[in-house]
Amino acid sequence: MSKNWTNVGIIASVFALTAGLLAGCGKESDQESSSGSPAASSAATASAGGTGASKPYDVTVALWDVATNLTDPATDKLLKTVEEKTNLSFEAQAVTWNDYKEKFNLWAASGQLPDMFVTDFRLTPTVDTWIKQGLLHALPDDLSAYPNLQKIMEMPDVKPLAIDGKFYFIPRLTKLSSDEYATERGYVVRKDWMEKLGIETPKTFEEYEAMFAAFAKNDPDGNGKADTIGLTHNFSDVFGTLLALGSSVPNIKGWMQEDGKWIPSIASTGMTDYLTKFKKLYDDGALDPDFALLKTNDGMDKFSQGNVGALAVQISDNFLYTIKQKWDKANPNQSFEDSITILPGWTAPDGNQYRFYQSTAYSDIYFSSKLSDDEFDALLKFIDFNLSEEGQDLYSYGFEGEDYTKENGTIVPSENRVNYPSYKFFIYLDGVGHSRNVPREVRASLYGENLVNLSYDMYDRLIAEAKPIPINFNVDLINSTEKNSFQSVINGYMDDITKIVLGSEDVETAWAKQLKVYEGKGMSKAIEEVNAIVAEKGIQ
Amino acid sequence: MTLKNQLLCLLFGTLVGVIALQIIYFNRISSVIYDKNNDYTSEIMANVESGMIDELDALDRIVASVAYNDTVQRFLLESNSLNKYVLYTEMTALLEKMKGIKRGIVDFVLVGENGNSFNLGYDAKVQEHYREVIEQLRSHPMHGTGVQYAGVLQLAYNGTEGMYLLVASPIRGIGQGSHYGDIIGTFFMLLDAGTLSRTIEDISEKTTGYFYILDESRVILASNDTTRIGLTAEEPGGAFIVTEKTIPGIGFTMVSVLPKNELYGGIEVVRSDIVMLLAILMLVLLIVYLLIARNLVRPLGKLFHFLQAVKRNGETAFNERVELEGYMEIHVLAAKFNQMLDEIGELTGELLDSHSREYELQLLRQQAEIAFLNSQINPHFLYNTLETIQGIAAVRGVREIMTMTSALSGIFRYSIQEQEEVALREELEIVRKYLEIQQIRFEDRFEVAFDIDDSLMGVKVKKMLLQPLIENAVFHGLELMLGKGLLTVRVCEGAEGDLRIAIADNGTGIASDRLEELRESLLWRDAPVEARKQGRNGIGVANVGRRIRGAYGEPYGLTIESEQGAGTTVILRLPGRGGANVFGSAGG
Repeated sequence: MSKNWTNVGIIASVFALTAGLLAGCGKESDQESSSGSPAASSAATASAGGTGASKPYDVTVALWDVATNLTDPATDKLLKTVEEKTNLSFEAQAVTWNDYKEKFNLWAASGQLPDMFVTDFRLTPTVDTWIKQGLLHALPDDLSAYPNLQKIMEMPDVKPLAIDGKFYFIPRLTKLSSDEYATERGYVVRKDWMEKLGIETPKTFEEYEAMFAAFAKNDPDGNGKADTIGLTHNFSDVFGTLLALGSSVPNIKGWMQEDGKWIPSIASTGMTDYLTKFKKLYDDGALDPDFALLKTNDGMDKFSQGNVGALAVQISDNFLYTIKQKWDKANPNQSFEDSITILPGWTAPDGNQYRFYQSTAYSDIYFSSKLSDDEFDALLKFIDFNLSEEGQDLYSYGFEGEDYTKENGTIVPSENRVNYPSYKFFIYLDGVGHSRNVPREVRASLYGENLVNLSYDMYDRLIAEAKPIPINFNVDLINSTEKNSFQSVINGYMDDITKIVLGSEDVETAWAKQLKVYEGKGMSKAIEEVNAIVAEKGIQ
Repeated sequence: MTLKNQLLCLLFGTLVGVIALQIIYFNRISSVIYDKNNDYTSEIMANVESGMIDELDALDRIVASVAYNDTVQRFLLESNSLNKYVLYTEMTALLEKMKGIKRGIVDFVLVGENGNSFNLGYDAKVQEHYREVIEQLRSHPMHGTGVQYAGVLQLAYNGTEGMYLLVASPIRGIGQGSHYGDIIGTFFMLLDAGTLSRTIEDISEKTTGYFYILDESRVILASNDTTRIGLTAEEPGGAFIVTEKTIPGIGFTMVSVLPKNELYGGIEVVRSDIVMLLAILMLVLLIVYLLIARNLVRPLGKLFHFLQAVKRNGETAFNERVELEGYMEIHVLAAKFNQMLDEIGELTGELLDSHSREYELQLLRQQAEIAFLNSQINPHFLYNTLETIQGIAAVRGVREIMTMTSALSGIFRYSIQEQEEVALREELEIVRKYLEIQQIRFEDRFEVAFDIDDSLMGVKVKKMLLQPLIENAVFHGLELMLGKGLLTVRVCEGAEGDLRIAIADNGTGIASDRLEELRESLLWRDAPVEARKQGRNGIGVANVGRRIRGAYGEPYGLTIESEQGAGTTVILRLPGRGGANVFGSAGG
């Protein structure tokens, strides 16, 4: 009997062995095929929950340099946190300062506009066309669900921008008040070269020009070679408008009154002054001979190499800090803070020291009409969050406990504060990072006390002593056909001016020719229209 | 060869055969896999090469179309600032659009011989890179209008450092003018590092081996071993098959490195399967063997030993039974075998029983006879009494009493003699004496006749053979007869030399059925109980007959002939005078 059981046992074990072998073969292939799915399903469930939409939305975003700043949520905690909170997944649709105009036009024409994008086409026919073609999603009339957003839309320099009572964009607030633009234009100057060449702080245009020329010609670095440059710039528009501060057309891109009539500044006689100064800088060698061939941010690189005397650039602390970073890499042995100083530019012919001033937003956030209501709602909530105190704190300081602590109500940044790449994306998107709401101490910890002090001191001085450039928003922001149409011509001002500066003709003759061209492009019509509206609305 | 050995040989042979087969097929499969992998790798190489050539071709075309674009050409040669600016703006727009022509293009850089440049940037380190490449290009002869240089570099671009594929080509002036045919600048294209190697990097991980694209200085531009990109190629240590192929025009080399043992990739599965199968086979064979051994070989062996033990031990082994487990046939065999032994045992038992019963009977009979004889009266007392009677009879002169008592005394003396065998003479003497008595009793109612061959008188015979027969003849034959009877005793020699004694009477005879009974009882079959049933007559005749038969065996014995109313003759047949049976003629 026991022997029978032994036999049974042996046979059973053989079967078990065979079964195991076969099961093993099967399991392998099962595992291979099923390994894909758990990963997929976990990814789907990861983004559920949060204060935003009930499902995660993939939204494409376009904004200058978005591709560099919008990184992988897996490695960027800030991005991950915001995405989870708002149930959005951001995908970059790349644009840069060099190609954005073309790209947006291309996308609009081919129906590829991103879900959310930022561009400075305000008051141009392009936007009108887009609105007419139904490419843009209008904001809802009732913004009570988005309290912070609602506040923005009711600002004095925003309200006029409604079209038929609807807003087709959200202003990208570069500043929370126009005064804050004071340090958005200036010169970073090589203090050490000034000392070397015995140059005093310039005030007039002549003094500035002489300084720049000396930088270029008088071998300030003492290497015996004529390899230095006087003045260069970081961005053509910044340069153009900076030069305007010390000219008879301080609001060069806007409208001014002349002889009782409102005209675009470029039509003003004051352009002669502007152009003369500009050309002189170039002809005398004070200005970088290659100034016209510079790409955006080339100026900073050039300056960092150490052979440039002055850089026309934004002189706020964050810009100074960016230049410093490049400088330190290229000149590790020379302290940036010790080498530079910042200057506001020369006084205008009317004797005023002007400071830069403009609408708090020069660009706007647009939304594609292809968005579903749910997606749009999620995005608006996201924008609302960005404008909220919580959002601003998050972007400015980081995560409480990790990047900063709150002691007695003041923010104390921690030493190993993480610099999230997506931080640039978020603050750039809303522009709120430019804001001065971030306390000085925090800025000092970010940029270094020297630069912060330098910038703040200049700001205080300018606010106290300088006049804002004369802009009448009610006129500048008039939204009318001819005006908008001509605005795109105005926006190309630097190109036209550059050609004149580079050319050999004298400025008056050359500009007269140019004005004729502008005539052909509808300048008179625009002037007519604007003045009519001014009269109609009783704008002062 | 024993069953067990043959079985083992069979199993072993099977196992060896299967293993041999497996090995042969394993080798076959191995070589097939090797060839397949080899072919596959060659295919891949060919694919990668053609893919790369396509890429390079595309790049060549882009180089050609950009470098020889009119705007670009004029820009590189322009010295007037205004014109330069205008051309620059145009060129910028053009090149921005060109970026989108092919996947992977990051940017373009132009470096003019006269100092005009596009996108060169102002980072000294970056400029250094480009200048180096320009130097390199100078030292190489230019062939065609396509890419003349390609390399993977770590470059700073747009603020970040990264690995980029940089392709470059000198630009020759084609515009009418003094610079026709001269090199007017260098064209660079910045691409994703993976552009050239997309085909390689897409090679699935299942493929054996590593593929590399090396540039002129043996730096790895692309590989499916992504960790090595950017490093200088080294000779691989170990057993590898290395194949190199130079790509014409661009000076690249494609290298494939196959670890030799990986060419057998995939064989592990087969190997493990084979081993597993073999193990299972061995297990199965083992089980089969065990089953058969347990159920057939062992029980047969046991039986074999048992039989040998029986042969050796003989009678004692016969009480053992064999116990066998195994196949049904074995069980039946064992059962039947045991049954056979049982029957043998039974039969032997029966045989012994009957034998022992026989001897027992014989013993009992003899005991009966002895008892019977012992129940006789003490002889000495009888002699004395008879002699006293004889004395008295002599005194008183009664002759009959004297004769009878003398005879009786003689008979008694004779009967207590210890000798078993006596001479015939003596036995006859007693017969005479007996008859004397009987004649007196019967008052001469019968006569006696003797017919004896004197030469036989000395033959030895058993004692008390004749007397019981005479008695039978008198009391069962003659007594009941009317008229005068005759009793005859005849002794003669038979034809074979045997002794024949016949006692005949002409008395009443024996009934035929009774006669049969008597004859039966002579044949040793009767038990003493049965003998008693037959009455005194039976005992006597049967006793004599059996004694003769028992003592002398065949053909000696006693025969009875009788006819009812006519008479009875009892014939004794005894051994004759052959040697020891003969006494001397001296009586005694």
